[in-house]
Amino acid sequence: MGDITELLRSVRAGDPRSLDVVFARVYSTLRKLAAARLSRQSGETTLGATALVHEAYLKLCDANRLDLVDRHHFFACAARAMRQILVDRARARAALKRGAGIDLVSLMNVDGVVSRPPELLDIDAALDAVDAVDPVLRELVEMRVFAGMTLEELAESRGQSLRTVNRHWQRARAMLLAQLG
Amino acid sequence: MDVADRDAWRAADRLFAELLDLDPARQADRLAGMEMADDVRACLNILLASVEQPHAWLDDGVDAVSAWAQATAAEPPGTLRGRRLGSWEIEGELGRGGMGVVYRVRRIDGVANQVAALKLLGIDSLGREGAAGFRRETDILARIVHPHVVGLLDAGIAEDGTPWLVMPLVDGVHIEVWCDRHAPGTREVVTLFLQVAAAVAAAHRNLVIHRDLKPSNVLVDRDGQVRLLDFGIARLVSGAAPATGPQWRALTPGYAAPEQFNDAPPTTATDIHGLGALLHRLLTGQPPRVATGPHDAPEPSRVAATDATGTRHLRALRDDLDRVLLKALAFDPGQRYGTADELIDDLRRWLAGRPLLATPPKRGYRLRKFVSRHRVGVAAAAVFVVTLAAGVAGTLWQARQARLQAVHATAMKDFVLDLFAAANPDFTEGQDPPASQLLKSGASRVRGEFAARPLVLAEMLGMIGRAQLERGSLVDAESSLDQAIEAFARNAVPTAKWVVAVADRGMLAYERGDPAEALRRLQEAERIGLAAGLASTDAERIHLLVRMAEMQVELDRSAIAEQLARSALQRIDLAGAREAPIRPDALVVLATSLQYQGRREAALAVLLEAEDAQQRIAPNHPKMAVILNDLGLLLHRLGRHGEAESTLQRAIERHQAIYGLVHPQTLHVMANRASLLRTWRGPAASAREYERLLPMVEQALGSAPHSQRVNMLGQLAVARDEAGERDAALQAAHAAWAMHEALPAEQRSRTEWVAGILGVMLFERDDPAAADLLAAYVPPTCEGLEARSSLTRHVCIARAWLAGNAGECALPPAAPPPPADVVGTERDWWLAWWLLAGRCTGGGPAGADAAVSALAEGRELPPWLAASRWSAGAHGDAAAKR
Repeated sequence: MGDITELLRSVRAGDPRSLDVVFARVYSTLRKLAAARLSRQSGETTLGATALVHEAYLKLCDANRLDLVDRHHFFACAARAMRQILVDRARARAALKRGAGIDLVSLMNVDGVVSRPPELLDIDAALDAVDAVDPVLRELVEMRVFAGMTLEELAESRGQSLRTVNRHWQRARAMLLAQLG
Repeated sequence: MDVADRDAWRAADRLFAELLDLDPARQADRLAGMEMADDVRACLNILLASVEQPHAWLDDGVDAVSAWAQATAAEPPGTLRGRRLGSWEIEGELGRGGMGVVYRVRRIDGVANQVAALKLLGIDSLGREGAAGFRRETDILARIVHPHVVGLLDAGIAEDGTPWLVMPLVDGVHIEVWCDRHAPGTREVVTLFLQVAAAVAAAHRNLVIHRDLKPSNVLVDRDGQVRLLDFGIARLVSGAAPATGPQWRALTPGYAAPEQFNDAPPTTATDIHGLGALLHRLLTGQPPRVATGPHDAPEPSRVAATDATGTRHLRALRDDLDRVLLKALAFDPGQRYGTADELIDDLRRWLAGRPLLATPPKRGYRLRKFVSRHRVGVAAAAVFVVTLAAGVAGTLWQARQARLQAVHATAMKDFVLDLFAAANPDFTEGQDPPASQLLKSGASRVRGEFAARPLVLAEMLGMIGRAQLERGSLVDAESSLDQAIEAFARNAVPTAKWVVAVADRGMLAYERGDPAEALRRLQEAERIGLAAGLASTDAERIHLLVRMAEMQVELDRSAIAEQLARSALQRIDLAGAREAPIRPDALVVLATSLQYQGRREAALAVLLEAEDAQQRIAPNHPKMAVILNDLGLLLHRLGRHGEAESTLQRAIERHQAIYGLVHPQTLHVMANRASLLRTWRGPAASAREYERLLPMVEQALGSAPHSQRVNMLGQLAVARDEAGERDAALQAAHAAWAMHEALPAEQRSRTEWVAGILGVMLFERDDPAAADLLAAYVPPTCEGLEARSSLTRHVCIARAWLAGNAGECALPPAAPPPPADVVGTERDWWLAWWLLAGRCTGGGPAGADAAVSALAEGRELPPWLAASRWSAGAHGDAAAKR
């Protein structure tokens, strides 16, 4: 449990490879946690992204020794990991659908209503496009959508004012929606 | 993404960031002035367009991930597909909902080639009576056969104990969506609704109650026929043991009947309420507000006036449909239509133009300062269009139905209903707790229960704070609103509810006497509103404009106020909301701003329009009394005394009817009239009236010092003085001053003038205390004395006189009237002025001596004039002439 903390500190000290290790660890932890939650049959279980990410955080880090910058790195990794996990599952399911030849009506497709989230895979593609334009915007969207962070938390962990973060969010949001087309 | 695209987006993002940095007001200009390549401009436009669009999944802090995760969790592949239940085989999933999952199934017993919808209920949804009870219930449900009911084809219990139901697949649209899309006239809506009512009547004949009537349970199929869903399903599902929690947690706020929140067992009256709620939604565009008491439901026509859908049916509602709706929606089940057939009959009577059975409701409106309306961002009509465009062959709306059930009624709404549920153990059995107590305990519960959910906390506290503000519990309102605002700020996402909370907080500051602070808050609310993407014709923003105009008037910036008021009126017109209650408010503040700029005739025209508008909207509303008061005063200022008097009399009567006789508001208007009596009937009449009012004011306000009483005592002193009752006048002036001195510091600014009155009276009696008092009151100006009020004139001259005695000489400028025209005590004052003129300008203006002798001739001068060394000359002259 201790070495993620060490790794994050070495990221801060300037070693970028540690970030990859951090990501790998976070990813595997989150996957196990998510799998455990999702395996229950009932349609009522809600999978709270925030809860999962925080669970992973508690499991992996020694919170007392992490400063804001480290935490930011952790959550950025966790958000990316969460995105990856969900996209993997969605792809697997899509493959299954196609393979089985059954035209199942997806939860997300039939509606055009914007209050429902678009297809996860579409968001994934759009995020790649956002990343090409500006990786910082992509990271912001990921952390909000996949790690469930509030703007205030983001302001705190990035060491910026809420007003600044809100403006960045406006940009990120607009860019994401633009790429979703 | 290729390099060219990427660069274009990057450039657009940079420009977008620049625009975001600016005030909304300057953005348009800046944008117009920006130069950029065509492809960059195209990108920038897309970015800008997204700012206004609401995307709940992205904006509201909804945990979008949960939905995806659920989707990915749905049926570990192959588990249920192909599974058989009874004579049915599962082909695929249609949707997932609050009550269970819905599958598409095909009949496999060779009887028919039929496709249907199978609803799998949760394993714990079998009632106390288990399988046997389930079979009995479903037998009953299967008996309902009616063209407008989506009946039960089959039902059973799987080996693992899971109950299931099979229903026909329906290809149709939700009724409110259908209505939004086809925009039917009122008669068409009612005719369609009658199909629903007929379905309900049929079920009732079979002793089945729906329990959960709402628009999402009513479909309109491709033939334009109504199909009613989920009949009695609620009964099946909630048959579970009470241990799972109060039944009303599954109820839909707005459509469920009030008694359902007290766990009352559903009856046909419950369904009547549901029918009424459905019709209400179709005719006004909104679900009815669940009544919390017998006199609580607003008239549907008033709700309709504020909604685009509703205005189409406004006339019909006002005609008589209001009554039908209110009878169906009555708080007391015993007051509603007894059967669905009765409702059907009344509606048929309406269609035929015959008189109805529903009796008119009692009138009991609460004073409402704001119209609050929040629109949800989902464009329901767009759904149907989009799915058609996507070419999906036959929209299977039961699937959508299941999905919508999954969007859980938020905990917030449950909470509100809980708050008013009499089943709450906090309150004494059988007693109706006072609303303020409910609100206060509500606020503390909200803080406890929703501490970890800032958005919900904020919304709840905002609602509670507004209610407290309207009731006048300012301290409580401040606490609730401040906390609400803090929670909104923590959540950081601009929403309409945040706007309202900040605006309310502003109005609270105004109630406390700080219009500058109020204005600041309102402006902040406006910024949030813009960030939230509210259109300029949205009700919240129009209200903000009107309140800001009012504050600008209070702060003496009438030109700005006029501009704001006119803008508000324009937007009201644009929004097609001329019947909205806010319109008279806007007209009134426009009139006030015009008056303060001296444009009285224009103000009169506007105020008359306000009276007319208010008469059409709500003639018995307290606002009407205010309008009449302002109108009366304005007519007086325009010299139309007769009309002024009768208008003020109407204002007084209106106030009496609303507030009662001994109430500060009524007395305020009566005091206005008393002061105007001085012009109409002379000072003595005015004095008598003040004497009559003062004891009533004391009764209304209590015996503690109050600025209104000070002002009235001062007016009484002036009236008595002018009527020649000098000693009584002095007594009143003393009383006024003494009370003024006893006021708390921040209230004294409006009553400083009393120092002037008392000072002048003491000055006339040569009392040395006069000097300090006269120094305490500074008149607005001492120029053009002949045109000033007598108080101002006397104070200016007295001050100049005293200064003269001390050796300084400053003559207040004036164009004095000819001495022959001056009568009464004014002769003393103008004489004093002439003497001052003589002394200060060395010899005086032409005709000074003549004026002095004319004014002093043949009479005894008052001591203050006689005693002065300056009048030695006059005295001497007069003596010489004798």
